[in-house]
Amino acid sequence: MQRLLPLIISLLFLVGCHPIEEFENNNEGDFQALWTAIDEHYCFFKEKGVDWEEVRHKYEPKVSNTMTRREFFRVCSDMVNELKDGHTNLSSGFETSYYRKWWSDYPENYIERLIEQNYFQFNYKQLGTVIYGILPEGNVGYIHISSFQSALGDGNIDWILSDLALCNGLVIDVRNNGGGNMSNAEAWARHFICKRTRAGYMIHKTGPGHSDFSEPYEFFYEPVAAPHIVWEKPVVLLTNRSTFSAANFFTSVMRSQPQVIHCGATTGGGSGMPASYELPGGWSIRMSAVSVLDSKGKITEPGIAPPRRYEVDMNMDDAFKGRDTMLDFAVSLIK
Amino acid sequence: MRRFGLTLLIALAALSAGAAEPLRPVTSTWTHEAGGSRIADTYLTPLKYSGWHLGLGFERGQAMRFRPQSWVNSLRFGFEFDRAKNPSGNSVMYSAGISAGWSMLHTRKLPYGVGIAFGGAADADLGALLLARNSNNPAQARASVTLSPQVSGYWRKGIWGVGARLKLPVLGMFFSPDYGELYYEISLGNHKDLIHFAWPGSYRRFCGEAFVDIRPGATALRIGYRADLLSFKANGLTGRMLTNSVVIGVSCDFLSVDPRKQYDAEIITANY
Repeated sequence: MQRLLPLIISLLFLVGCHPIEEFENNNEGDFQALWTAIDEHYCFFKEKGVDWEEVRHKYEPKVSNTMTRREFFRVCSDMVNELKDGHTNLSSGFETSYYRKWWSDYPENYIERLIEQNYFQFNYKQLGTVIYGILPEGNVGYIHISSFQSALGDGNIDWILSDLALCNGLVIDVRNNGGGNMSNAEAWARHFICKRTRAGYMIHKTGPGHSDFSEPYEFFYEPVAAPHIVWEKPVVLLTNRSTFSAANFFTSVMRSQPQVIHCGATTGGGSGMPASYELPGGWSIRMSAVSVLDSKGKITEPGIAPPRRYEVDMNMDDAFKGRDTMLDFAVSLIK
Repeated sequence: MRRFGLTLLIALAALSAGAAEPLRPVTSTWTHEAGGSRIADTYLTPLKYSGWHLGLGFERGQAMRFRPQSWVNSLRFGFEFDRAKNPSGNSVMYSAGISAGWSMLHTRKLPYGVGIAFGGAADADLGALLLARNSNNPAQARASVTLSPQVSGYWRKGIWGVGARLKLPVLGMFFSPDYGELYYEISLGNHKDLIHFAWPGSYRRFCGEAFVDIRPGATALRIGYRADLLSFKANGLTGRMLTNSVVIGVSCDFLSVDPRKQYDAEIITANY
């Protein structure tokens, strides 16, 4: 038997499972799971200046197994909001938490109906999440991309660009574009780059520590292949604070192109690609997990500001007169 | 001299006729399996999911040409599908995979109809997990190539046969993304640290099977139990998959017959 013991132990070692940390399925267990998931996967502690251990000490005493799930949710969402991150949401069966101050503390700078009614008299074209047409003044084309959630193919984008081909330039309006899929933003950007372009860098976590990050991975976008259309005439890219996430990244790629002027207001940022994890009680936490830098290796999480001379906000007096100050300014840059 | 030449010719003719060469039927086994599964993958979620498991398998075994009395080889193909829920039951994970394997075993006949076999197996597995509720990490790929020692035993009497097999991969390679790496980054071309050396410290697997064959005629009905436990750790990520299944299938021996030949040779099947 003594001879067999090492063999049995070896066999157990061979077939035993690698451990996975487990948490209890109650409020306290959920809290530990939530705190740990963020601790191990969130990517912007340093940039946001958040001491996550201190946050734990602040909120842990507020949690008990006797509190209701709604009360518990409120404590957890307050804790999550300490990250000040629009990409970090706690989802339960009855509510999803949002940190809204990244946009609510800024002017809205966009009124959809103002353009639809006063510039197009509701006579614009629409394809998916895109509206487009020729503006009444200056022979300037206008494209508003409201989201990158759904994909348009290169052929679809060709149809839009060919419809505006005789214009002197384009205003691409990504105000209130809350993002979506990076690949959909890439599909649009490839129609505006003339040669292989460094799009940015990605940095992912390599372990649970707050400093466990990979080397920045440089990645490139290629122009869309012929016979698809690459737009080389002047472009003005219009942004506001609600230009977020994939739209923020689209802005960083587009503004690096020589024919593109970035104007409007600072974007909302959201440069962390979110990943999701679960809590034992079935809730889900989404958080910024991979940092995407711009083509110069600069972090864009706080937002991307247009060059100072192209910064403009909407004047509400103009809006009452039916004019979009920011759009008019963008058009003037092309005329 | 003339008599010697005639004898040699007869001997050569007998050899070329293949009368002494044993016949090696192909033993083909088709199986269906159904049971329970437990899945965990910390890339997707820290929770353990549990649900049901379905599988299809095909195995082709044959005694080897060079020493048919003591060596057999087999090819195996499989397809598996799992559907599992988290402990709260509000999220579903799907798993699908295909596998292929080849093994070569040395067989020994023991008294009382018992046979044992031991040798090695090479296996390749490819699959994916899907957890649709996640944002940019909704799926996890699984791929591995492994080498394993394998042992099996078989007892046969009359229409009854009882067998068991055990396989423990000890070497190989397997795929895992980096700790927090998204597949979007991989799709952009970052392929660093994706392939890992599999050894018992990083990749543990136990494939065990026990079955009963009932062979009233040329075809055997197989009823059995199969357990497959996988656990791996790489880049700080841990994955597990445990399935327990009831197996039901049929097994037949196939033999290619040349009508021009006379067969009086020994038949060596690949039951092991």
